[in-house]
Amino acid sequence: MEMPEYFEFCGRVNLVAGHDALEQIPGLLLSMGAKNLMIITDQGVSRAGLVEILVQSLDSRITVRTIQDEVPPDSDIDIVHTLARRYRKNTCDAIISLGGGSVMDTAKGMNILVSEGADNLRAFTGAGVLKHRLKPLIAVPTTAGTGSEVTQVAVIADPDHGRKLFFTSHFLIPDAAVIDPRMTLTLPPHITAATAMDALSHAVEASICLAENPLSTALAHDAIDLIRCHLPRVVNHPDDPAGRLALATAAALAGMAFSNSMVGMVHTLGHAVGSVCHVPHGACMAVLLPHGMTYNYHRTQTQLADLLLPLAGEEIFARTAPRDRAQKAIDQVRQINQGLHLATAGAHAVRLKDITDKNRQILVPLHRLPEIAGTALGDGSIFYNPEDLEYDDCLMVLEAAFHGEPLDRSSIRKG
Amino acid sequence: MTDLSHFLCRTKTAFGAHALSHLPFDLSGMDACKPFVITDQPARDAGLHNLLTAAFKDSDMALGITTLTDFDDIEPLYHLFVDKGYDSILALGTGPVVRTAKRLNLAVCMGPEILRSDAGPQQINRPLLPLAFIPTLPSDGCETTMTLVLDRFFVSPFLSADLAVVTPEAMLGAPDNRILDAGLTSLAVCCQAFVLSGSPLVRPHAATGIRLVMDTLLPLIQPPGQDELLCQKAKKNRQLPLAKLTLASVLSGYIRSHIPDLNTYLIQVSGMDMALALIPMLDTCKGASPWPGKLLLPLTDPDRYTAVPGHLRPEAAIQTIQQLVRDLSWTLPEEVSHGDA
Amino acid sequence: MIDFMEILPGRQRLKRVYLTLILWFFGRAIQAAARVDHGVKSEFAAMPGHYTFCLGAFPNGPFMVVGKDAQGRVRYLGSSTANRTIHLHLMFKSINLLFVTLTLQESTSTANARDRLFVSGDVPQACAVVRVMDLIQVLLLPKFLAKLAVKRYPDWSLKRRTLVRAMVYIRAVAGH
Repeated sequence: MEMPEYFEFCGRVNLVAGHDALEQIPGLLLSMGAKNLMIITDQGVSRAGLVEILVQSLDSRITVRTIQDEVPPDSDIDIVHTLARRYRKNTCDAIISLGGGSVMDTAKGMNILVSEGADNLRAFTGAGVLKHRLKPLIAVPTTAGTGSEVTQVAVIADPDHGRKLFFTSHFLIPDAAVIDPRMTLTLPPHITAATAMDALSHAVEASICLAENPLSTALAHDAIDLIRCHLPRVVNHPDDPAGRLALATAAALAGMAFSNSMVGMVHTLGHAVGSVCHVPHGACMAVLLPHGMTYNYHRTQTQLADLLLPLAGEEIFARTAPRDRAQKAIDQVRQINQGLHLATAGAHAVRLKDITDKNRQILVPLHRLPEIAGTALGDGSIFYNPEDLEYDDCLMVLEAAFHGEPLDRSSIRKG
Repeated sequence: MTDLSHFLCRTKTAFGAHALSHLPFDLSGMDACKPFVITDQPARDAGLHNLLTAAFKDSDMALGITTLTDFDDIEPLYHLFVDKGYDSILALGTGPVVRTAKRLNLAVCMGPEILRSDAGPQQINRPLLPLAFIPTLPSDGCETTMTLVLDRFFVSPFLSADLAVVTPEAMLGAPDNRILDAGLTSLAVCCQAFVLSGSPLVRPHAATGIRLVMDTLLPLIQPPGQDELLCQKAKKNRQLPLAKLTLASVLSGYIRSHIPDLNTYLIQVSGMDMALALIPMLDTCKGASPWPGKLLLPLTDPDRYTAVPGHLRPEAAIQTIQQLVRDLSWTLPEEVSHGDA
Repeated sequence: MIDFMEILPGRQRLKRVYLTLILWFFGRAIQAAARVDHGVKSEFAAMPGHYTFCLGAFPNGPFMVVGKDAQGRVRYLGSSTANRTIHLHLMFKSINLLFVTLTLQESTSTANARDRLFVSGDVPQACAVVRVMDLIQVLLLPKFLAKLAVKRYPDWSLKRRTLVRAMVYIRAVAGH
């Protein structure tokens, strides 16, 4: 078993997963000495009726002091400051974040302020700043993708200064992540596909990037296995609760894996595409994942070959000669994408140029690729990528992803 | 997937080279600056406390180092800790050291009366002082559980160490019977957790523990070369596999409390007995779920796993464990292989 | 009677002297390269004016402080962080871990992957500083050593490999 010379692993979250997991929340809160609740969510979740399901699952021992559903799609510092004031005004003592990545990050940011008794979130950026446990925070994900419910980071925009604030601390890991399939049952197929591919990209990159470690890899492989077994069925039968539970669990496993071993160029480029062109994160991940695997092929052949078993299953793994397994793993990801493309009547994009908005307008035009490549160089995940990545390399990969052409391995500069 | 599962491990694991050099930063990240080191005589005799001293150079942190001779009387430690204003505990050693560290932590944070056998029930629902565990040997994993067994039984996530720092440089040499016992105990715990636990988080921890044991146990037990001149080198070469086996022990501690019917299967005298008890347990469960068959994957490798037809995998997993036990029995002197040592 | 001793671990003087010297020369090399190497120049050009960063070991150094002033001039500002506004900290978690990297036992990216260092400040600028460090290591070290420090050894022109490298060395020694 290959071991890195040094690694750290921290998964300090109580993962509660099951068909009636929400009903465990009162007990969890009481065990932490909390009963006055603030629920943070967004309008989409609120409109989908998920807040009612959550509130109904609570019992008389818990008081919901306030429900805040104004979190924007990209969390920013203003909403964090506003919510912190409301938390104090309502004398809450615990938080439930109900939503996707933005809601989770907002709740983590707000928790810093209310726990530290502070008014300015900017003072808490960077590592090692938080030194104490924060207020009880329970994360209930409503998408099966980001994994934010188990991670130790929060990213919050600071529009006044035109930058993103990064917060990293073990204290930011929620006390509990409650995975209940009722929270994802209403996701439409193309969003289910995109979010699952986001989770898949977390798992794959956690297994092949520079900070990979045996625990993260084991979590990642289990996540991939769950996604392979359940994603096709859930896309075709969205109301399958067992499949929904499996996908949400996979997202949490993948989240814990990448929270500890980080991600590489698929996210480097994906974040940049999202930032420049405002494209949903999952859609970028699905398109870029096979290209990222190909780019790193020469440095990660062993890890890629190991991924074939969870990605393709036993039969294909056994049938494939060891020397072909790494390439087959990449082909398998393409095949998953292609299957999702067909199952969603083309809504799941397999090329950057196919990603469109509601009005069928292209979101990632060719002429913006240079700007995306430049932006990518400022993303921290670039340093966890096994092969070095400069501007020209980013552009080459983006062009291949735009046209949906596999990267030519001989054109990749090798260190 | 089962209907409902819980899993919580509060301990951050650090493994590998230069791991001790991270400690001052990690402690400072928990607002601690004056650690109290508890160690035992073997670690002290091997000079392991000097490794800590070296790692804390330039950190401005003073270390209080105590070597335990009496593991029962905690009162002098308590007074020393409180009077001198320590704010965190480093447990350098094995089970008794960690048990003392947990007792001390409870006494300091909850009041010493909590340890009295006639004290009423108390809930530990808030963090104690930062506690780091630096193992010096593979063990049965009790150090990294969230329990403390005295006259009374304490259980809380906050009893777990905040950090488990496994580093080859802190590994002491150990007699074969000790290594065998620890390795087989870890294997038994991890295999049973893998098969019986319904938690999706337990299985990856268990699988990693199993792989670590399968990679290291037999090579560690096999007799060393005869050349005396190579002894020092051989000792060095053993430190990394010993650390890996210790990591398996640490992981087995995290997942111990997630095994249903723990008492039925697990409480055995020695690691060898536990491994032997594992076989009928797997035999009983093999028709009930896919997990006894899937156990073959961490026990072997993907090629061997996929080469065996699905319905034969539970039997192949059992045979792999039996083979390991046989190989170990061949390698060890007879009295050790029968668990008498 | 319990066996107890209290130890104040003290300082690692030799390591500190070595690291202080390396960081001193490294800082001056950054200042020099920012004038003569187009790669380093363009990384600094993208940084805001009045920007100061620091590389060092937690908690007591040694440190290397480099700043870019409003006119865009890059300067090595010494080894003290006192009385300065530092916008970006790249800190190794201990002096031992800084020593491991600055003796090329681990590259910066490996150290980063192994959680040996932490960053406080804006991430895009941190990325630029790490790229500058890589470029400086390639400029200062012979190829067989530089390959230990960077992920991919660059394919540079003859001029950059010889003339620019010589100028960086001369300016770093002279302090220009």
